[in-house]
Parts: sequence; structure tokens; C-alpha cells
Amino acid sequence: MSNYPFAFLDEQSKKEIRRSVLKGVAIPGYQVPFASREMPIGRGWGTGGLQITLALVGEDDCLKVIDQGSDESVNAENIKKLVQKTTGINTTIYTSEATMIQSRHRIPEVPLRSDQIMILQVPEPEPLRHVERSEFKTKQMHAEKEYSGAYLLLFEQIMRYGQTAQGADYPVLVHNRYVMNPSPIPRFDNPKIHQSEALMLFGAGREKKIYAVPPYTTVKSLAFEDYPFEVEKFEGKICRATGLMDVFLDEFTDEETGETYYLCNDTSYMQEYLEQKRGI
Amino acid sequence: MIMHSTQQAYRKLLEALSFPGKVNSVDTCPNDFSPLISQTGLICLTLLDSEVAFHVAEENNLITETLHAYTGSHATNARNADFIILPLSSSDEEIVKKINQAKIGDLVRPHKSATIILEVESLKYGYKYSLKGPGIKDTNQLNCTIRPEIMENRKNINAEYPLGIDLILVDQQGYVVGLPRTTQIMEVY
Repeated sequence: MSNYPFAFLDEQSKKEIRRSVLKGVAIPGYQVPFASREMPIGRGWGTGGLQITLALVGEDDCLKVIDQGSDESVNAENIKKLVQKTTGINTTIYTSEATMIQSRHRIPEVPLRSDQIMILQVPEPEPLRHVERSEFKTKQMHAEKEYSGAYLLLFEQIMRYGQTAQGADYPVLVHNRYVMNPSPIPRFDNPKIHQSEALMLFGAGREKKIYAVPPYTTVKSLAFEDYPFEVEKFEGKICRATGLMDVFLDEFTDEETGETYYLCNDTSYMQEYLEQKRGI
Repeated sequence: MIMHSTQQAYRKLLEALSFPGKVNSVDTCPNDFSPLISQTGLICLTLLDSEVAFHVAEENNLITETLHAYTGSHATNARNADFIILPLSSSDEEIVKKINQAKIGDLVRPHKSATIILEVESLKYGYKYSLKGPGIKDTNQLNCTIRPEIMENRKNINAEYPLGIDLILVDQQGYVVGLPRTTQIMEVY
């Protein structure tokens, strides 16, 4: 990999991404267009997050990559290896050790600190896309703070199902100005963006958008007075391995007994918890 | 290597704008950008290239030529500049004039606005300001030598959020502070 420049991208590309990230931080929740380079992985596989990671990463960073709560999935491993091989930096599975965390669809269970940067991969940055297909028009709607469409989507779900049925990518209002897709994290993770201690960056490679939520920023999940926002509840369910209850759980079926059981979705947290318990 | 210097400088800048009022130190620049403060030079190397245009206050030719030579970025007037550089020697009138001329973007494209790099005497002493907004837990305090009239002027141009300008302050000791358009600044007496 020595034929590639440090962090794969050329300096010109990094500059453009870096400027876009700064604008994103200055205008929380606003989607800043950027050029989105060709990457050695396909668009839609985390290229937005990856480009932010590569533009920001330095020799002293320690990177953690998560894919749906797992550090070991193919996507997470490959992104981690690409960054590691083109920079020589350390990688980790422990949230507290990481200075940068790139993630697909989860925010870790371990609380983030102000010296960490959370980078989320975004498939669809536009919260109004289901209402309006034209990018030209959705940009206008954001300009006019015309968000009735976003509420209408939730309203229709309530009409149909008696509750909001948006499981992941539940839209939020950032700094009382922009409605934003938080990327397909479960609703469970939405409150972690509100007043987060860490900077959160969002990269949509295919849609060529970068946006950000600075630390200590007000982020409200959209809701109605009579239908307040609720996170997924796991009442009476516990993680079979750790006994934890206040975490996001995955449902499994034991194929021999047919029994349903649950495990922490954040597998590195599960591992960390078990290691601590066993005194490793 | 320069790429590592600019990467480190960028992360300091990102931190400065993510936590407005936080005083960060940036390394000196390997190239000579005088009479600019060395750190201002490194910030320009980090952010400028041929895709953006810059403007230097008081039409300082020496600085303009050096910046163009090192970054490939083109000089333009204050109204069209993506980056406006206000050296320490700029008078208060000049600063106010340039801030008033700076691009603030439009409602569809608020990112098409200018970033102003303002050199100041100190970011450790001077007038006391209280800061509020995203990136700040409750409130933050900034001591700096920027006169209240200039802060007032910044407030006026940033009145119609999300339109506005973002400020990067650099002082003689090489400290850096970021003031994005979202930061509300009040003078403390």
C-alpha cells in the first residue's frame, strides 16, 4: 500500500472534504454538497463516512469501525483495514480507546467524550425525499423551513398503525432549524445525539452530502403533542450473555430448542462488559 | 511532511469551530507567510486551493502573492471571496468594512458564505465576552482584544440564521479560536 498517499485520498480531495465538514459544523443539520470521490469500495457501502474518516485521520488517531453494532462484520473490517493500511494507525474495538469512530447504523452504548469524533455513514441524507423526489424542491423546502412533509409522513404512520412506524432513520430537528436524517440508527440512539459531548459527522457518499451536529446541540426527534417520541422498549427482555437490560437488543432464535433469546447489539460493549466481569 | 502539518492544523480548526471559544494552539507554518502570523499561514495552507478564492484586507500584495504561490488559490474582492484574511495590521474600519462586504450565502445555499480569518493581538486577555450556542455547554467565556463594535457588527451580519459568516481568530501567540455563525456573543462588563 506504500504506493498510495497517506490516508488514500490526495490532498486536494481532503481539502474539499475538510472545508465541507467545517461548513457543516457551522450550520448544524444542513446538508453541505461535496464532490464525493471514487473510492475502492462501492457507493452505498460507506463511502461518505470513509471519505470523512480519511480526510480527518492523522498519525496519532485510533479508529473504531462499527457495522450494525458489530466490529467484526465484513464491511467494518474492510473499512478498518483500508484506513489502517494506508495510514498505519492503530485500530480498536473499545469505544473508550477510539479517537474516531466510523459507524454504520449504531451509536455505541458507551457514552462518547468530547475528544472523540463520531462519523456516521448515511444512505439517504434527505428527510423529505419520500415526500418530494426533486432535489431542487427539497432544497427550497429546507430554505423555507417547510417541514410539514416530514410531519405528514409520521402522521400517516400514526393513522395507519396507531403509532409512528419509523424504526430507523427517525427524523430530528437540529438547533431548531433543520430537519435531518440521523442515518438509519435505531430510534433508541436518537437521544444520544441530543447534547452529545462528541462531534457527530454524517457522510453520504452516493448522495454527495456532508452534514454535522456539533457537541452540545439541541436535537429533537419529530413528534406530536399527543404522540410523543418514544424509543424502542425491551421490557422484560435481557441480554442472555450479560444480563444487561438498558441496551439495544437483537432477537435470536435458538435453532435447536426454538427458544427466543436476546443479545446486546453492540458486540464490543458486550465483550468489554464480560471481560470486566471476569476480571480480564 | 506538510500533509501531516495541515492535517494536525485542520483537526485543531475543526475542534475550534466545534467548541466555540475553546482556545487551541496551532503549530507554526514551515513556509514563510510574513507579515501574517505563522499560524495564519498554516491555516491558509490547510484550507485554500484553486477551488476557492481569497481576499486579503488592505489589498496587501505581498501576502496575496505568497498565498497564491503556495496554495494556487486566486485572489478576488471581498464580496466574492470564500476566505477573507484580515492581518493584524488591519484597522477597525477596515475589519468592519470587510465583514459587511463578505458573502453570507442565501437560504438555499447558506454554505456559499465567507470564512473570515481574523488576526488579533490576544485570545487570552482583553475584552470579556460570554458565548452561547451549539458546541458550548451552558456558556463559555472568551477574553480577546477584539473591540465590542466589531462583535456587534458580526452579530448584525449573522442576524438572519442560517445566513452569515464564520470567524477563525488567530492571535500573536499562535492560539486559535473558532466562532461559527451559530455562536451568540455578549460582552461582559
